Order: sequence, then C-alpha cells, then structure tokens
Amino acid sequence: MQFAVKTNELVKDFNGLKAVNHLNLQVPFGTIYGFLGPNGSGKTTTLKMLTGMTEPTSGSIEIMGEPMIFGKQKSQEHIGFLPDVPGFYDWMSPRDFLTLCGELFHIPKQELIIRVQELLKIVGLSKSVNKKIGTFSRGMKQRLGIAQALINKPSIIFLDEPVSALDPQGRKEVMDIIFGLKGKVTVFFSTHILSDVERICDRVIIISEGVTVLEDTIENIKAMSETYKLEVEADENAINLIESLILDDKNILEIQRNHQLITLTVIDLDYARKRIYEILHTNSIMVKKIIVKEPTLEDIYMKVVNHNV
Amino acid sequence: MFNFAFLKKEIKEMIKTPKLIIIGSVFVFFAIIGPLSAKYMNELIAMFATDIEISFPDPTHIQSWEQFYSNITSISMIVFLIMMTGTVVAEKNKGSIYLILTKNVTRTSLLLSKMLAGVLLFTSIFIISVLISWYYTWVLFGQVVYEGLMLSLFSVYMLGIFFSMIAIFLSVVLKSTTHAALLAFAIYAVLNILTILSSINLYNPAGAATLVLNQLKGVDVTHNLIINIIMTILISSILAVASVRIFKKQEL
Repeated sequence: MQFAVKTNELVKDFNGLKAVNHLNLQVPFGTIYGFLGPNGSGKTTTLKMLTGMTEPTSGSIEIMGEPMIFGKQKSQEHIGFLPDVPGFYDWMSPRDFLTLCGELFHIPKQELIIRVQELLKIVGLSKSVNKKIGTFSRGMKQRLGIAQALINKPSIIFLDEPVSALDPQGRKEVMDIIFGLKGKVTVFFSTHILSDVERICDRVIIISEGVTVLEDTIENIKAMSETYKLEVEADENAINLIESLILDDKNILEIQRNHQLITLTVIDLDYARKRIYEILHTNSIMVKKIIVKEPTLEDIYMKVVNHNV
Repeated sequence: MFNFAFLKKEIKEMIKTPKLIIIGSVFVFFAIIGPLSAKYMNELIAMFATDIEISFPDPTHIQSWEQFYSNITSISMIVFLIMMTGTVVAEKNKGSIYLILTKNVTRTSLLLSKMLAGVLLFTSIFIISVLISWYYTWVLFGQVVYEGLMLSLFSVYMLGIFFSMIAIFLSVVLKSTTHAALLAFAIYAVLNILTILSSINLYNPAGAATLVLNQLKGVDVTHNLIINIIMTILISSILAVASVRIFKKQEL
C-alpha cells in the first residue's frame, strides 16, 4: 500500500517535554484521515513538523514516498496546509491572494487564472472575489484557506482543526467542502469534533500526550467496543414490567430508566435481543420502538483518551 | 531559486497599506523643512527675541544641508526603523507566514525579499528626499554643492540600509512587534549616545551623522567617512547573514 504520509518514530521534545513521542503514522493515499486528540496532545506540533515549519527532534517523515528534510522545500510541491487560524493579508482580495499563492508555485499565468476561478467556485467565494479579505467572516476565511491549500493540486492537504472556530453554518459549509475532496486528494485533518470525523473520515488516529492510543478504520474502531446498548420504548407500565423481569439478569451490565424508555448496556447483544423478545412475547407487551444503539466514536474516544480501553 | 512573486507582494503591500504614506510623508516633510528652516531661522529667532540683539551670519547652503542631515538621521530614521521592525514578526504572529512557507518559497527567499523591499523603500525615499532638499537649497541659497557632499550623502544612505538590517534582524529574532520596535529604538538611542565618543565614530554606523556635520564645518573627514561606510556595510552584511541563518533554523 502506498502511503501519502509516513512517519517513523517521530519525536518533538520541547526542553524535556515530549510534545510528540515516537509517533508512527501511516496515512494511506486517497483517504480522509482524522487526527484526533485532546487539546495539548501534540496535534498541532505534529502538523507543523509534517509541513516543515518545525524541525523534529528525532525520527523521520516521508511525504508521498520522499523523505522530508527540514529546511528543504522539496515536499511543498506535494502538500497544502491550512493552519487553525489562517492569517491573510487583509488588503488583498481572495483573487489576489490565490494568485500570489499560485505565483509562488510558478504556475503559468493563463493556467493560474483558470485555477483561481475554479477554486473560488469550489469554496463558494465566487461572489466575493473582489472584496477585501479584511471584511471576511471567519467561515469565509476558512474556506479561502482551503482554496489556497489546493492551489498547487497537492496530493495531500493538512488541515489543523479547520472547523473549531466556526458557527454551525460555517462548520457545515467547510465540512461539505472537505467531504467533496474525497477520492481526489488525501486529507489529513486534526479535530476534536467527533461527529464530523464519523461522517467523513475513512480512518482515524487518536493520540494523547504525544502517543498513539488508537489507529484504525472507523468501522473497526466501532466494532472494537465490547458493549452495546439496546433501547426499548413503550408505555410506562410495560417498561416497569420489563425492568422488573430483567433486573437480576447477569448478562445485562447496566439499566437506565427514563419514563417510557429503558436503555440496557449489554455485552452479548444477541442474547439481550432474544431475552427482550421473549419477555415481550410472553407478556404480550406492545412496544413503540426497539433500537440497537451502535457505540459512537465519542464513547470510544472518551475511553481511549482516559486510558480505559 | 529567488521567488519574485513574494518580492512583488512586499512592494504592493507597502503601497496598499499606510506604510509608504507614513514613511514617505515624514521624509518629504523634513526634506522640505530643512532648507526652509535654515533660510528663515535667524528671522524667526529675531521675531520672537525682540529684546536682545542677535547677529548671526547669513545662512548658506551649508546650513541647509546641516538641517537635512540632522533631520534625516533623527526623526525620519526613527520612523523608518520603527515601521520596518514589524516586517517578519507580524507575519509570524498573524499566521500568514505558514501559508507562504508551505508554498514553493524558501525561508531564505522570503527573508531576502523582505530585505530587498526594505532597501528599495529606503533607497527611493532617500533619493526623493535628497532631490527635494537639493531643489529647495538651490532655490533659496543659489548654491548646493560643497566639498564631500556625495560621500556624505552616501554614508547617510548606508546608515539607512544599516537600520533596515537592524529592523529585519530584530523582526526575525523577537516574538512581538512591540518588543521589536522598542528594542530597535533602544539600539538607535545607544548608538547615537555613543557618537559622543568621537574616537569611535568611524566604527559606529550612527557616527556617520556626526562625521557629515564635521565635513560641513570644513573639517576634512573623508578618510573617517570611508572607514565608517566600510564598517557600516560590514555590520549590515553580518546582520543580514545572521538573520537568514537564524530564520532558516527557526521553529515557527
């Protein structure tokens, strides 16, 4: 398998504090890769090393199979980068800025004009093409940030918490743009908004205190969970009856009651389902809903970050 | 490879932001006021001090250049220095540097563009100032040139280049625009205080300001001026190389 990004025992030491501690990344080409971890876990430091802004203390980085050496500009051809709060020149228009970015890559003039137009369309800024960036909202700046990261048709783009500072509307717009890149470019993005990750990522890595705690596909990670939740909704008398019948069942780890709703945490999902159907059938209980709740990434995230897995 | 696109941006930025207007107006204002104040200073003093008898010799083009040198090496230079100190540190603080350096621009190329833009800015406002002062001196005194004028102008020009490099250097090593501006001012002040020690003026870039005034008074300081210019070029080059070396290894 070809990896767009590969790191080997990557370490960043800030005066004895290991912000990144022997990190081994393998980001498959073409994936949308979520880079998760709490604040201060080393995400931004890792991204700065991957984009050549900071020199690793030890370890190595490969971008598109080529070693990345700090101070050499070679890898920049392959990458695009959007920092958490992108800084623009307020006196420029988005067209000016994207043109500057293209010129920095020596893109021929005619090709650049077309490319800038395309990108402004992709990120929905075609109508604001001549406005000053200084007048832009955060959401607009973030969208322009994605456009500038794509100017050189990179193989991989690094996005550092691209939606953290945005309102729900802005967040949705930016996530839709990122989702639209699926299959066209490898996207490596750090975030702590887990619902976004669940929606668009193929794979995730979770780091905590600079160390990898989990790396896999979303499906596999969810399958890792050892417990499931079964939710039954019926009228209150029926729920009371169900509760009384399963109270002593050792296979049921936890019971949560909320008026007409009962939530069971179980290890053996099939057993629990059979048991509930049996009770319903035997006692002629009519239910409104039975739902098997899959573990969310949030459940798993909380567990691994708190070292409970 | 040097990336001209970034230099182009630097030049455009000077024009589109208040930088050029502020520096330009200060330089132009003092270039005009120099010859004028030289010409009318005696009359002004006489007007306010009516109770005492004052007799000054009639001012000449020498007094005009004296005013020019005093102004350009003080207020104008301080404004230029302070305005230039933000050039790198502001990009770091704002975060725009990340967007630029993840493109095909080396750190050396970025910094050289900043230096070149600073030098171009100073060169153009300096030439304009000299031309204005030249013109007004000619109109008001009928004479402009004196022995050693060109060398004096060149040494003051090199002083400006030296301060551009000081500004860039501080902008690279410091973390805030305010710190860079304050330290730049402190360096300016210390170097100017050191000009009291006339024996080291030829090694002190700021000594140029004193040397050119001596030259005006008729003392032949050509030799000292040449040494001063060589020292200024040397120190400026060291500052430029050090800035690039530090910036190349800097954690951003």
